[in-house]
Amino acid sequence: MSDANFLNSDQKDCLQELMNISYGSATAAIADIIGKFAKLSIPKITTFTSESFRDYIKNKVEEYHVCYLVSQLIDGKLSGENLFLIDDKSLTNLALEFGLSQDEIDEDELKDVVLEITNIISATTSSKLAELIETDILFSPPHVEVVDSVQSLDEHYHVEYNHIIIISTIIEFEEQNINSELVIMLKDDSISYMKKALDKVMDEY
Amino acid sequence: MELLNNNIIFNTIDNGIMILDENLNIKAWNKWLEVKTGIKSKEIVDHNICERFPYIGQKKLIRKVKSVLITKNASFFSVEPHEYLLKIKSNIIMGKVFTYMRQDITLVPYDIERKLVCLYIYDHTKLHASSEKLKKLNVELKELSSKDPLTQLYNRRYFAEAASTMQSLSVRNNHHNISIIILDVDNFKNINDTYGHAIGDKVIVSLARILEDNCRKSDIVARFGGEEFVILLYNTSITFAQNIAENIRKNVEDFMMEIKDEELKFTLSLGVAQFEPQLDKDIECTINRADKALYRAKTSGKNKVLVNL
Repeated sequence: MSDANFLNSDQKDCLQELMNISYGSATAAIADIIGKFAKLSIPKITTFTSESFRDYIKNKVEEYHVCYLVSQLIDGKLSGENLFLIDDKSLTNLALEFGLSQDEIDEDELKDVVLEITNIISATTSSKLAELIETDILFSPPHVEVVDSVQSLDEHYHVEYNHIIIISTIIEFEEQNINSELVIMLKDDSISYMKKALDKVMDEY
Repeated sequence: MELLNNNIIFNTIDNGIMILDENLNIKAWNKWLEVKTGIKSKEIVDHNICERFPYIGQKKLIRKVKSVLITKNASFFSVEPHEYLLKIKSNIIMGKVFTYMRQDITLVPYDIERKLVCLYIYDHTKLHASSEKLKKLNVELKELSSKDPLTQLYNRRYFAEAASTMQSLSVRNNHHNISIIILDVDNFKNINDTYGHAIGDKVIVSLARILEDNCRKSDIVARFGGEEFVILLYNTSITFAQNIAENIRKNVEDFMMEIKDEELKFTLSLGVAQFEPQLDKDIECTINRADKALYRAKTSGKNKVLVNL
């Protein structure tokens, strides 16, 4: 299945719309949990094959000084893995928004913050998406790796998914811009399921 | 929570289960927790968890509970970076790695209306002990596979990997200079033939220490094989690299090894080149140019530094 027939343009539009709704839930959740108003930019959806995704991630790691890479497995009809990528500067800004002082911030705290934000964004977006296309999913605990070079990425890179959806967004707080990216990797069966579900959503509305 | 107290699953499952309200008051505490902590359910229910266990970060736990209640989804408190939620002495006798039980915790919504969450506490001490041992072994393995056993300097394989990373870093940082010094012991075969291979090895080890003393921590010093060494100097101009090479040459020239009643002296020839993106496809090309300079140094009298501009 090439990238061209992975999702057609209508399905992409529909997914974009559903992700807008999902990100709305994520934004509201972040604001409620940490007591600060956050804005998530309109998610940009790109689809990749496994090989092109490898280059994409490599470029990201090269662009970021130090990259925090969080992965979270998802089970159910939409099974796969969510990845959350954020650079160390953005993560430090995020930690400040989480109410930590500069003195309190160390690698463990940064890991804790990135695990928590990933869990919130991943849970709200994927759950909302699952709810919109009427299915149930389960999450495994997120796992964080610090990647500081393309070489160290190779040690962690074992992508088994043929098709990958990248949903890029910027979380904006009043004071800081935080660049991050959510990557949703779905197994082939789940892609087929999602395509059918998106078609059904389009038929209904 | 009366119902839970008599629930067989709640009290026989092999992990801790606790119910908390949004203010972190404990509402239920299962048998596993009673046994592991030595605190009975009736002694702790309706008490605030952070007051009973002051080492628990209240701000963080409140945020996690909130996250569960708002997203109506699970939240996690994993060993890395937390190690544990409740300080419980590890009961492992053989091969004990951690003093306290390593715990992975999953928080799930229990009753959204009443703002209650359920905490599952898993004892993952054995799992994390194995993973810790594996991590240590991996570090040792990496060290072994990247170091030259005789000199403890980096080997050729590691150098090639590091050089490629440095090249990418240089491109990212507006083409910071990278300089290469390649060097070789003059007439090393004579040393081996005259004094034997054991002394030859001592020369190589002494040279390795001189190279380390003359380089910065950020430089990559590697043994390329035999009596040949290479140094990558990041963010270093060719003039500065030439000065470092000259210092090394001079230090080696002044160095004297005592062997029984004899004094052994040796010299080096060195070639220097700078990575030029227009000229060099990669660092390997720069090494080749430095090697040419080294060859000229060898053929024009030895014990000298020459630069390939």
